[in-house]
This record gives sequence, C-alpha cells and structure tokens, in this order.
Amino acid sequence: MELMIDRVTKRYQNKLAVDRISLRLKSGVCGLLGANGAGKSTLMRMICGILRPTEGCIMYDGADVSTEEYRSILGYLPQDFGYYPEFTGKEFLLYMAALKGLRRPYARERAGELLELVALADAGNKKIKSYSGGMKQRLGIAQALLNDPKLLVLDEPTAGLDPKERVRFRELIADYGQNAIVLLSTHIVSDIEHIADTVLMMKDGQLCYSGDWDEEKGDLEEFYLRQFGEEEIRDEKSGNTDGI
Amino acid sequence: MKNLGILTVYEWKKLGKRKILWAALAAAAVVEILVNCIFLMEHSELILTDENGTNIVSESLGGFEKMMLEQTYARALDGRTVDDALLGETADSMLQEKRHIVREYQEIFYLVSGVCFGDSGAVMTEADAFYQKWRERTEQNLQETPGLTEGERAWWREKCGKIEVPFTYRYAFSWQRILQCAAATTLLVMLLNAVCLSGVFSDEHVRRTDQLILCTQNGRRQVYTAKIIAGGLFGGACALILYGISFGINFAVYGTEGYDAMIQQQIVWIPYPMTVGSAVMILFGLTLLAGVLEAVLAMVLSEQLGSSVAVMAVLVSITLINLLVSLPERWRVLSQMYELFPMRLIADGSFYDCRLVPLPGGYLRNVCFAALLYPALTVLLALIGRRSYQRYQIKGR
Repeated sequence: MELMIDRVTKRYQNKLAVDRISLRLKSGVCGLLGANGAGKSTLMRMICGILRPTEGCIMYDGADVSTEEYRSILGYLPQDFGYYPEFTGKEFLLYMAALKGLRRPYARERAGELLELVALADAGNKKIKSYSGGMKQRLGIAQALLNDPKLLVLDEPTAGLDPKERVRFRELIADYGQNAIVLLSTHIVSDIEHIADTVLMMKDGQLCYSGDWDEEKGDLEEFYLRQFGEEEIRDEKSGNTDGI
Repeated sequence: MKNLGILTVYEWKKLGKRKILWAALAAAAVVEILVNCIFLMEHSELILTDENGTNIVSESLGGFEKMMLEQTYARALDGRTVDDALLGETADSMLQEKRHIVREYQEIFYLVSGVCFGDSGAVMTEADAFYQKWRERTEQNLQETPGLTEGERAWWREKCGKIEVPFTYRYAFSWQRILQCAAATTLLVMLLNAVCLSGVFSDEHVRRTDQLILCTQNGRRQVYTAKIIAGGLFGGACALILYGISFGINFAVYGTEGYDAMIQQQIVWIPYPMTVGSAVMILFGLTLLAGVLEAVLAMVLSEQLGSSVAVMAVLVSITLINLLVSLPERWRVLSQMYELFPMRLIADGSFYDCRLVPLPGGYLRNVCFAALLYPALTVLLALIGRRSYQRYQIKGR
C-alpha cells in the first residue's frame, strides 16, 4: 500500500501552484499544513485525479491516478463540497455508492452504518437542505468512507464541526489510518497533532517540511509557527509585506 | 451495465427534483391543449347586407357548433370519389348555400379551389378538367422550383404517376388536425429541452458536486453515459407526451378514422403517394428523433458553456432564427441544409419540398434523409461531449 507522488507540478498562466512535490506515503495519517494559497487543495485535487498535473505523476500501487482502478480505492472530501438539496441524506449516500460501483444491497447496509457512525441516523430521511453546516460536513465524511477507501483524502474536514464532533472525527480518522493512507489538510493544528504519523507543511507550492511526527518532538503548533512565523517576523522587519 | 442503469435512474431523479422541469412540462401541456382546442374559442358570424344597405348578422356559430357541423358534413362525404357527380353537387351547393357559415360540400370545395387557385370560375364541374389542371399545376411547381435537376423532376413525376386518380375523399379530421399542429408540438419539445436540460452538466459545476463525482470509479465514463441516456429519454418523452395529448384530444373530438386518407386532401400539391396517417407518423417519428438530438445538444452545450442560461440563450436563439428567417431557394445547398433543422422540417409543408438529397443510385426525400441525419448527429454530438467531459478538470477554485 503506497501512494507515490513524483515531481508533481501544477502551473497556471501566471502562477506556480504546486512546485515539484515528491512523496511516498504508506498507511497512516498524514497531516498537511499550510497557509491559505499554499497549494494544499491543488495538490489534493491532483491526488484525487480531478486536476491534471502539468508535470509529474501520481500512482497508487502502480495504478496511475487517471485510471478507474485508482479511483476505486479513493475516498475524497473536498473543502467546499456540493450536494443535492432535494436529496435526503440516505439518497445522497446511495447515489455516491452507485458512483463508487458498490452493489445495491451492500450500499444500503453501508449507508446505514455510516449514518450511524456520523450521528446522522435520525436525519437520514430528511432533505439535505434542512441540514445544518455540521450535519452536511458529517454527511460529506460519510460519503468519503462509503467504499472503504485505501486512500482517504480530506480537505479541511473539520470545518463546521463543533468541538465534540471534532474529537469524534479525530478518533475515527486515527482508527481508519491503521489500515489506509489518510491525507488530511487543515488549518487547525490540533486536528492532527495527536493522530498524524507524518506531517507535511506547504508554502508557496513547495514542501517546506516533511517528516514523521510524534508527541516527543514537542508541540506541533509551535513547530508550525516556527516554520512559518519566524519568516514572517523577518519579513515584517525588512518591510516585506507579502505573506499573512 | 447494472450500474449504468442505476446511475441513469439517479440522473432522472435529479431531473425530477427540479421544480422548473414540472412547471415547464405543465406549461407545455397547457399550450398543447390550447393549440389543439383552439377551435372551441372560435366564434363565426356571417354578415350580409339587406336591401337598405344595412349589415345584418345572418348566422352566428360558436366553435363547438361549427366543428360539429363540419364533422357531420365531412362524414357524409366519406368514401366518395371526386368525379363529375361530386364536383357538380359541390358547385350547386356552393351557389345555393351562400348564406351559411358551414357548407355541406366545403371539404370538396377546398380541394377544388386548391387546384384552381387564382382562376376565375373556381368551381370546376368536370373531373377530367380538374385532374388535368392538377397535373399541370404539379408540373408547373416542379418547373418553377429553383435549382431542381432533371433527375429530381423525373423522380417526382414517377411518384406523382402513382397517386390514385380519381381522388377518393376520406373523413380524416383528426389526422389532418394533428398534422397541422405538428410544428407547434415540435416547438414545445425544443423549448422544453432548452429549459429542462440546459443545466444537466453545468449545475454540477455550479453546485460543486463535480468534485465528488469525478473522483469516483464511475464518475467519468459511466456518469456521462447515464446523463446522456437520461436526457435523451427526456427529450423523447416530451415528444411522446405532447403528441399523446394531441392524439388524445383529436381522436376524442373527431374520431380515429381517416388514417388512409390521401395527403393531397391536406395539401393538394404534394406530388407523392402517401396517406395523411403515414405523414403524421413520419412527423411524429421525426419529432422523437429531433427531441433526442436537441436534448443531447443541450447537454453537450451545458458541459461546454458551463452555464444553463447561456445554453438556453443559444437554443432559443436557434429556434427563433428557424421560425423567423427563411433562406432564398436559389441558394440551393445552403437553404436545403437549413430546411433540415427540426423547426423548419417538422411541419406538413415539408412534404411539399421538392428538393431531394442525391445518393448513389437514387434520391432521398428530405424527411427520409432527416430520419438518418438526426440519429447520426446525436451520436456525433454525444462523442464530442464525452471527450470534453472526460478531460474536464476542476481548476480555478
């Protein structure tokens, strides 16, 4: 089980969004940190096959990102995912299950399980337009887990979740990461602090840090701020107004 | 295959959950009913002048009464050969019944005056002269149609020679009415496709559900096929529903007789042996095919333009141009191609277009060529759209 990202670059007309990123990820939780505009979502979209890299390749166990075989093991929760307001939560999951190629009887069973898991069992037959923001986010998490993905990509998954839900989510992901590759991007360091096996930090499209992480290395937030914060203080003193 | 079926059902569900679809369908159904029942709203008055020079209303008839009278008289003429006797009775009747809105032999009078249009003494009483006039006028049309080749004229003369003479009048009000309303039905199908299918692909991008769809196993190839099938079925279903209304109303009001009435009862100049019923079925089939074609066009444009409003603008513009603009016949190829657009083709007048499509070994009438062209274009458009969809990337968000 290995995700191989080899010198992946995404170049737009006047911007280099992702700059020659190479990674090899194995099972476990990998936290991706970075400021707004660092290129996290762009990298995740390329990993999910919905954005083509300008250069480089992405493969999972030899299957290229553009193949159906690759997409069959993928679960993705985008940062700003859309939904069908007139669908119920259950209908939405069953539709996503059909997209993921799950057989109908299994899809029904799995949808029921996941609605329970994300505490939406009572709201499963209500229309999504009646859901709160947190409920929609939990539904998004549920659809990402439908096909029991070997590669789970979550872009800002805890947005809209209250602290209690956030703790539940962390436990769920930590558990899931034992048998799958989980790539999780967030602004909230505490989301990954206690569960990430690997931490990646991006700035201006480049990986500025990539390494294993455990609690013995200290506070992750302080480490993150040291990676970015000291540079910003230096920038301020020299009169450079770029950055945060 | 089973997955494709399930995905198609979900695409239908997505369509069905759009309120605008039901509103548009309801509006189209109401318009179709009105178009077919317009006769009920008619009111006819016959105004004559008395010896003092004062206008007086000699006769007043509501739409329903007029329709019932016309039906009764037409049924009485059903099966009669248009010969000297019938022409003589028609001439006498038209002279004596000047003070009535509906006249007993008016169906035969319309046929005769169609042949003798522009002549003085319009009511002929001799069958030989009538058919001779009909042949001369048909030949005149073939000679006067710009750009027609000798090969095409010869083809039409051969077909015209197979038309059964003398004519036999058949009561065929329902089939004739359906034929007259075919153009309006086609217009409604085109507008329904534009309104209901313009967002099939673009709404996924606007709603941002495309990210979830495109990253799944079936999100590229199978989803595209499912959308095309669902949308194509919708286009065909619109044609079925609207024609169903037209058939239903006209059969209920006029009865189902007259399928095998000759098309010359509708338009006397059509130089081809066919029945009114078969003309209706041809236009019905073409509307089905055109409905599917335009549905696929709407969906492909939806993917290309990314905006349902833009798609509607394009499709409505095409429809309006087709309705309002005619190309001169002297631009033979261009105008013949233009006349293949559904809004131009699917009307009873299309059977009157003498321009043929040359093929190795013969010719095809425009309606026959369209029956091959529309499915071919549908497949071509679907393939173009598929390539575009499968290469789609989420960017700029």
